[in-house]
Amino acid sequence: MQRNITVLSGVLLSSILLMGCSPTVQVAVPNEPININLNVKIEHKILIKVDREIDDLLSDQSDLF
Amino acid sequence: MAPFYSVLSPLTINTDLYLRSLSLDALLQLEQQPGLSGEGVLDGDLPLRYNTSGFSVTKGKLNARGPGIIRYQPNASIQALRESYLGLGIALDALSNFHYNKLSILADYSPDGALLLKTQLGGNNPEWNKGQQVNFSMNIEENLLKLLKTLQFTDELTNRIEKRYRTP
Repeated sequence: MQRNITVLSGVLLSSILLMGCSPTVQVAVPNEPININLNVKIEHKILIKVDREIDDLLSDQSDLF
Repeated sequence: MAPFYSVLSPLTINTDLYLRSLSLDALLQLEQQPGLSGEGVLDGDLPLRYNTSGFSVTKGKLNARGPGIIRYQPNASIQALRESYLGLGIALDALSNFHYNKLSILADYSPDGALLLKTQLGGNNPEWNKGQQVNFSMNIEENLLKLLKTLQFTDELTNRIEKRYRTP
């Protein structure tokens, strides 16, 4: 009888421990730095937006650019 | 100024430019990238050479004088690239408010305008991933002559239109 109680309390204890643990389970954030290698090529483009009226005006003066 | 050597015929120039207290923000503004700004001070040592083919710089150095900040919130078209490149998403998250403690640049410039910046950038974004340290190793390639052309274009165009349409 004594022995059964010990086993039971052991089971209870372990379940409490599990519950106690579950909220603290988390994905460990690595403390090591992240290393990122990037190759960047910057292209410079000129975008021109022109109103329709000015567009008509410029069409006669195409050598402006 | 460093020693200055020059040969007049054909004209060649050999000199070292020592640049002090450059504003990081001013340099970044030149790039004309929307959403890019910075805080910090850089010092540079640029060995400048000129010969018949033009100006060139080999192994110029730009280093941060102390810690600073880079902020980059790019437009939607660059944000869209996150999908294709996993690392880019992390890079953009970190760079949205990047507090650097290390910034050193090795610059090479050739007469045709090609500029290569080998950049070592280390620091963290306190608002991202618990301020985890991120080290960037970036090779930035661009054409400086084309950049200058785009910077001058607006003024030039205004002048040309004024000249053409101003009534005498």
